[in-house]
Amino acid sequence: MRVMALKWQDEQLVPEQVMGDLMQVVADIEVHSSAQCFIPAGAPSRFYGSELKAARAIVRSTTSKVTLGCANDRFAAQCAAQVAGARKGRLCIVPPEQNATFVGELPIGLLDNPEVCEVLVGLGVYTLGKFAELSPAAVRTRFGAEAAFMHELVRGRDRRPMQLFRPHSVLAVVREFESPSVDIDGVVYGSRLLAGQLCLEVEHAGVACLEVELTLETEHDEVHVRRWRAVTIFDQDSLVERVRWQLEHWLRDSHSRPSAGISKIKIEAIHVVSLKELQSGLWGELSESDQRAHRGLDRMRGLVGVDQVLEVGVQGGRDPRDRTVLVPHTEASGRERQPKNRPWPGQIPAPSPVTIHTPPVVIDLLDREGRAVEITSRGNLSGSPTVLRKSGKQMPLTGWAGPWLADARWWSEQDQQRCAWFQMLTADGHAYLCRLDADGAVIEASYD
Amino acid sequence: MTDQATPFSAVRSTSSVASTRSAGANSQISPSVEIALVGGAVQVRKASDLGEVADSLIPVTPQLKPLFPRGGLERGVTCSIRADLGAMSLLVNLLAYPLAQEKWVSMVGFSGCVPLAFEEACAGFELSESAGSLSSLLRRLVMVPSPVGDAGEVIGAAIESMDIVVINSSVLKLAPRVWSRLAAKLRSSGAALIVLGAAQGRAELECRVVEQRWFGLGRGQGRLRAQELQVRSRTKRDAQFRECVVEVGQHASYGIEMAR
Repeated sequence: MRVMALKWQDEQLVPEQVMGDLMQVVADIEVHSSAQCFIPAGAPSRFYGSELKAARAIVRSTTSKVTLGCANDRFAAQCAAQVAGARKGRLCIVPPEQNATFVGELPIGLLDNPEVCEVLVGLGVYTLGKFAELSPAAVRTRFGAEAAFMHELVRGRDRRPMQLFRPHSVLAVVREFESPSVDIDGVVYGSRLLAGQLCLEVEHAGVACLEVELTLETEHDEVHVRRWRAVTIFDQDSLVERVRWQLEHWLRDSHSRPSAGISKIKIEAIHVVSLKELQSGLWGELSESDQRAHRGLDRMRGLVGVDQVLEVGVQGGRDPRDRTVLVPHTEASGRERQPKNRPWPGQIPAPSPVTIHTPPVVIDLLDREGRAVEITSRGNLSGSPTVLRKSGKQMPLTGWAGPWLADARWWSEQDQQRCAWFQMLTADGHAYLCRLDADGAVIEASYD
Repeated sequence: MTDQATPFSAVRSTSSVASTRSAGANSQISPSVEIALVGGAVQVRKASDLGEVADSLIPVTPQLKPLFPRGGLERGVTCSIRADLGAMSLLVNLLAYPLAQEKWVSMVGFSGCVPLAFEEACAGFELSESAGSLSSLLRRLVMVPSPVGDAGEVIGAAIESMDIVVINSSVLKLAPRVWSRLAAKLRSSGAALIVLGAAQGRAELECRVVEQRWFGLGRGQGRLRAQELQVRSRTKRDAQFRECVVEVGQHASYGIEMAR
C-alpha cells in the first residue's frame, strides 16, 4: 500500500491545526507523533490524477512548512520526507519499484535508535541496505525486540494497519435555558430541538453516532455527566430518551440530587463511525430481540452504573475462580483473555460447581481422631478426612476425593500458590470444592 | 483429573422414553404433533397450532418439560424455585436450553455464579447456525450482582427487554408494592420471571428440588461425575403436582456408582 508521510519542522505547531488544513483535501489521516502524520496515498492520487498532483495539493493546503514523502510503506515514506527536507525540497516521491534501492542507499543513522546505530557502524554496517541483509534471527538475538522490529520495517515489512483519524470534535451541541426548569417534561421537551440539531450535524459529517456524552448542569453549577451507547445508532428520539433517563436517575439519586433547575444541556458525540463501516458492521446483525435487549442493557446501565451490569465468560485456567470472567457488558467484545485451548495441568474436572464463595468459607477438615487434616511435604494426607466443621457445626463426610495438588505460579515468589483441592460430599447432601493450603482449609465453591 | 474426553452433560429424563438417546437427539421435538397435558385433559395440537403457542413459550430442556403445564416457561408468568439444596443446579439447567436458543437472560442479585457451569450445561445441546460459539451464547447472560439503589427499577428494565429474568429474592428483599409493579410490567411484556426463594405468593408455578444425589465420589477415590435431581412442581391454580428427574453430568457414559 502506498503511503505518504508528512513532516513539519515547527515544533510549536499544534497537530490539530495541520489536521484541520489537511482535512480539506484528504479524508483519512493517521497521526503518528506531534510532528508527523501518514496518509494512505491511494484515494487522493486517484482523485487528483497522480501521486505527484495529490502531493502538491496536500502540501499547498497548509500554510505551515511541511515536507512530504511518498513510498511503499510508512518507514520508506518517512525517510523520503526527511530526504526531501535535507535537499531543501518539499516533495520526494519514490517510485514503487525503486523502494528497496531507495531505502537501501540511505545511511544507517535514519534508524531512530542511536545505541543500535553506533554498534552497527562499529560492525561496518553503514547503510540501511546492509542492515536489511542481516538475518532477522541474528538481529533479534544481538539487539533485542525493538531492533528486530526496526529491521522488519527497513525490509519493507510493515504490517501494522493504518489507525485512521477523523476529527469530529465539532459534533457537540449545547443549549442553555433562560429560565431553568425543574420539570422533567419541560427539560426533555427542550432537549428535543438540541437532539435534532446534533443528528443533523452528524448526518452532514457523513457519519453515524454510536456513543454520546450527555452533560446536565444546574443553576448552582452542579454537573451530571454520563456516557450512553446506542443500540444501533442514535436518532433524535433515542437521544431524547437518554436525556429523560439521565434526568430521572439524577433526580432519584439521594446523594447528589440537583438543588436547582436544569440550566444547560450538552450532548457530544463521542464515538462516530462512517456510514460505510456501519452498513457492513451493525445493520442486519442484530435481531429485533437483540435490539430490545441492548436497549434494556443501556437502561440498566443508566440505573446502576456501567460497572454493575456484567457480562460473563469462560477463560482458560485451573480452578473455577480462575476460569470465570466477569466484565462490564459492552458492545465491544473479544477482549484479551487467558486462552482456553492450552493445557492447564491440574484443571478441576467437569462437572463444574455452580456457585463460587467470595470470600471462601473457612472450614476445618478433621480426621477420625479429630485432628486437622494436613498435607505432608510429599503431598500425602496426614489422615483420612471424616468430618467437615463449618461455623462450629460438624458434618460427617460421606465421600471425598483428593488431594489434587496444584503448584500454581511456582516461578514467582509473590504469587506462588501451593495448595491441594478436594471434592467433599457431606451427609446433608451438599457437594463442595475445598482447598487446603498452609493457611488451612476453605470451601471455594459449591456444586449445588 | 484431566479426564476431559467424555462429553459432558448428557442430560436425560426418566419420565420420557427418550432416556437412552443422546442429548443431541433429545433436543429435537417431534415436529408434527405434540401432546400437551393441560389441567389433566389431553389435548392434541397440530403443528400449525404450535406456531402461535411456541411464541408465548420459552422452550426448556426436554428433561424439565414435565414440570411445566405447557411444557415450557410461559412469557408473562412468574415461577419460583425454593432456595434449597440443588436449587442453583436446577436453575443452571433450566437456563441452559434457552441460552442455547439465543434467548436473553438476566440474573439480578446473584453473586458467585460460575459461567463455566452454564457453558458445560449448554454444551450438550446442538446450537443453531446463527448462534455461533458457546462463548457468544454466554454474552446473552447478563449479570447484575448487586443492584444498588432501586432494585425494582433494574428488574423492571430487565423485564421489559429480556426473555428471562431471574431474581434472588433473599438478597433483594423487594417490598410488596415493588412486587405488584413488577407483576404489572410482566403482564405487558414478553419476559418470564424466575424467582429463587420466596415470591410472596406471586409465583404461578413453584418448583423445588425434592432430592439430590451425587455419583462418582468414593471415600478418597473417584470424583464427582453426575448429579441426579428429583424436582417437583406445583401450580398455584389447580394445586397439581408434577415431577421429573434430571440427570446432569456423565451419567450415561459412566457405570453408576452410588456415593451413599
